[in-house]
Amino acid sequence: MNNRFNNIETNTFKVEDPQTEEPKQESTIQKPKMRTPKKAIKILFITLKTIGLAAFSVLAFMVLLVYLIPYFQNVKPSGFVMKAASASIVADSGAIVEIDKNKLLKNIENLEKSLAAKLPKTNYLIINTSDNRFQLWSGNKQIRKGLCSTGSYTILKKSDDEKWVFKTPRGVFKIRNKRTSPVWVKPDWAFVEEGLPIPPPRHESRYDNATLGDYAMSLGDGYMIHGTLYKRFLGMPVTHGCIRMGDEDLEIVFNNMPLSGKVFIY
Amino acid sequence: MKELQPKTGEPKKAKGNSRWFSTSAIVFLILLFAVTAYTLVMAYLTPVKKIEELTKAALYSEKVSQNLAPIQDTSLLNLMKKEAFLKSKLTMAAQDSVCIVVNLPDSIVTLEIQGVTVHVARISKIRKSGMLDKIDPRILIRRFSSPQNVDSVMATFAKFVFTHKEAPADTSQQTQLVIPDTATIEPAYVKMFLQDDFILTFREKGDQNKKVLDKFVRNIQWNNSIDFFKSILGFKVPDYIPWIEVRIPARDIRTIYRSIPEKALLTIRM
Repeated sequence: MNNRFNNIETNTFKVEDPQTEEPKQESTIQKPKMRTPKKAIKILFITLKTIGLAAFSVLAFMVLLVYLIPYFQNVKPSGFVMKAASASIVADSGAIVEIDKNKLLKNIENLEKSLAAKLPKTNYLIINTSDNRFQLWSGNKQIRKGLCSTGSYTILKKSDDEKWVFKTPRGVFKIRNKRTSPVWVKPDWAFVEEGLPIPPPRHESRYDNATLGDYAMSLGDGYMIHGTLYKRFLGMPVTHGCIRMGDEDLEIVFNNMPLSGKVFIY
Repeated sequence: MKELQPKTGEPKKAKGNSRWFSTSAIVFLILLFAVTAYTLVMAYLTPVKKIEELTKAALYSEKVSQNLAPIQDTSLLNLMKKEAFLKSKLTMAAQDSVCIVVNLPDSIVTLEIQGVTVHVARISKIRKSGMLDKIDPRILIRRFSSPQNVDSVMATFAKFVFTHKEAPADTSQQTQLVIPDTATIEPAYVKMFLQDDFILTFREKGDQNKKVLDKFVRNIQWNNSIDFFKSILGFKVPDYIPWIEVRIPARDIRTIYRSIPEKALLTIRM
């Protein structure tokens, strides 16, 4: 009990102590009240300065990384720096050998002749599968240019095991054979694409004499240059891998491309 | 007196704080400046070091070692460059696949198959590493006298976009022909990393996609600079790869990228 009383007494004393000493209270409570805003402003100011410094450093670092390093790496090194760097190398250099200008000119002439000999002797066809355009050339002279259609980059999937990729192969090909009024022997994918059952190999439903137009030139592996019923799609990648041309262009290409004539597809 | 202590002590502490802050800020700024200066000096010296490396390598090869004295005759240099270029083209002509030929003096990029030019693109602007103007031209001539292999490619667009189509179960499910949207214009920027430490970049000409491309380039520069900075911090000499950037129409960039095979061959006439 004594202890309790003591506690109460001390507690009351502690509570009452500041009230009884009013001047002390003023000095201890009011003065911090006066200083708090100043102190807070100072802390705020230092914090802002720190943030500013950090922001400046980050910005400087970013400018350094994105602009200054690439810029300084691409400045032409000054002659002085280059001299200092290559001094040891030049000192080691061997004897000066005269370069024969005439020999050089002769070499260039021979190289140019060798390169010119690479040009096909007969007419040749160039197919751009990216822009869907063709050019027909005879040596260095362009005979015809125009639109065509090439592979659509479609993957037709029947099952996990059976799928077809419709793209035009790139590289150098030769005209293997030329046919007028060609008949298209439909491959399996033509039926799969239409949701039809696949007929036996020589079934009459496989033969189609309307789709390929008036002429067809085979490039091998089932790829052909032929006409089209869908002329509005010329210039677009819509085919199953073959190269389709408009009627007039096809006729000119057919008449000017010899058998074994080169077809460059890129 | 005890109560007065904070009165006189607080301003002292505040002053101390402020002085501490100023000192550390100054030290920090000096450090920042020192790091920046060191980085920039290293950035400036890395291409010089590369020149040194290439020159030394050339010196020990049988072709250049005898002819290291400077050639003053520019017509002779041009002939040497032409000879190297034609040699390289002839080597590429033996290939069946599409090869790239960059002819800087004539400002054209061509695609060739078996020595036949199949595509021509006009260059509207050329930018290159400053070091390429300072290096002995014979070193570059030697380097480009044989075709370079494209090791890897970075581009803003896909090489091929395949459309997947499920086979219809019967004729009622047959879908109409899908016509690709050719009107979509993607920004064209292709960066080719050559096997022999060289970068060739194709950037589309014009300002149509400038913002997107600038952002793309900034990202690349950021990554490169981070690597550069890491090397410096690890006390390693950063590597430098010389580069050439050519600006050609976006359509030509797409054609070039889509027609070349993997590990395509390339030659540059300087």
